[in-house]
Amino acid sequence: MPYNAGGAPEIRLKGTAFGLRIVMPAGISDDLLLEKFQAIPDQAYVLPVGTGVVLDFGPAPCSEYLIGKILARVIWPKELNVLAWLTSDRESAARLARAGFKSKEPEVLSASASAPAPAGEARTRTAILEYSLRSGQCEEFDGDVVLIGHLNSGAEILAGGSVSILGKLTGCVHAGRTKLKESYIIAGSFESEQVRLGDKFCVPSRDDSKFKCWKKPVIITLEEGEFKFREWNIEGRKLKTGN
Amino acid sequence: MGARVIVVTSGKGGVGKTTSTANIAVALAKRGKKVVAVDGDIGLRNLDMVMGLERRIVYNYIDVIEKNCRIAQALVHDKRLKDHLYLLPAAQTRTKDAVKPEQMKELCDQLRPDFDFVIMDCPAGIEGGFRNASAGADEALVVTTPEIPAVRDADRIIGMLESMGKSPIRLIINRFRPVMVQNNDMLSQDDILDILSINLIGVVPEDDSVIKASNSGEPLALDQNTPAGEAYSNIAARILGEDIPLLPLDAPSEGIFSGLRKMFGF
Repeated sequence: MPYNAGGAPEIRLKGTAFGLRIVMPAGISDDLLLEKFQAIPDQAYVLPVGTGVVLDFGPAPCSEYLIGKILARVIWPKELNVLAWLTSDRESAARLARAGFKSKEPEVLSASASAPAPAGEARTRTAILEYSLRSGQCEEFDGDVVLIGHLNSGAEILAGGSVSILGKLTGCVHAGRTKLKESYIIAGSFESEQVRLGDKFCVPSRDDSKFKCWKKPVIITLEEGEFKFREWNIEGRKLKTGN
Repeated sequence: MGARVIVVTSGKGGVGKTTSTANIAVALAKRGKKVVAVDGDIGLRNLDMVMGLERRIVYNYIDVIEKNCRIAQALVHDKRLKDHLYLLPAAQTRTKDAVKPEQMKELCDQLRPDFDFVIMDCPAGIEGGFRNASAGADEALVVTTPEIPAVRDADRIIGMLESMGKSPIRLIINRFRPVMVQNNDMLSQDDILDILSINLIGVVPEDDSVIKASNSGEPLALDQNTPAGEAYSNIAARILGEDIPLLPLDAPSEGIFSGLRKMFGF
């Protein structure tokens, strides 16, 4: 989810296998970044035991001033467990390495992405994204994902569980990365060139006359190793109530 | 109050960023604003040629950044729009690594007090050149053509501009061909807006005179007698906050001869 205090640019928070990835925006002053970082509410840092946060600066430089202030104003007061400080800026990476900070992607990310969840594991929280994902943007979560918006062509959602997209699905969804048996994909309008469930992928063709679900609302499941597309439509139907 | 700095960008190459930059700069200058068009494409500069000012370049902004000259010495004055239009050229013999985003931001800040508008022509791509050109900008104009690859690249760029805090980000649809849209061979304006979800500032129709204008160094907006020139003039007016309706872009109706031919099957 993006955290947006006082307008853009925004700090993005991503739920991952190792905990929370905090993605810093580019083109923003150190002081403004600190201000936005401090404005993130404490609830965002409520994480399972054994996990932590990764600070991802991307291509943005990470000055000595910024490192010092982040430690003093956020990391130590909130008692955060920092797993890594990531930056592609060469000078900043060298500065962090000299100071002894971990600067590699936590290994748990790749391990958990392919390994099935242990039996009896507590259900991971559902991520609700209230925006559209544009080309090049990627969201990755351990649990289920609900996208209240469109997944545009070139954008990706990688989820351990199911993915529900209320808008158009033109990008790429990889659902069921850790909970394959119970995972599904729902889309308000299916217009994607590829979907993935677990270790299977499907390339539906809009030109295939047998494929009836193009540009229609669909539920996609994996049954006996085969992709099943079902059109759904709640128009004109009464929704059943609990009593 | 300083200049509004607007970056003209697209992601994909060849969609008309440079043509749009030149024409919008000219159209704003014609409306009495003091404008500088900055070529953000270091190593592949073209804006000077499209504006017809290539022979008058002595210094460029890399010289300014490296303190080889003052900024006033690098500015090329367009005498056709006296005291209103200037070009700040890029270096042709350097690469995009020659500057850093902070330096471009500083350059824009130096220009702000003396101009009403700084229009920055951004190179194609999403790497250093894009980051340099957009570093100092407040606002963005995203140019796309009605083709799926161009729209997808525009979507990528819009996401990046949003994360950099640029606002407003507005869309120019360039090289629009109503007949192709009517025949379902081209994305319509609504299709594009549905995908990109940003405000439209103008639609520029496909116009052969754009090529002639680029070759001759006479931006169309200097003389509004072409459909594209009029479209750019309207975009400039909308940048200034005027409420101008979009040009009618319906496909031309068939002539009498064409109708008779259909009727009699020849």
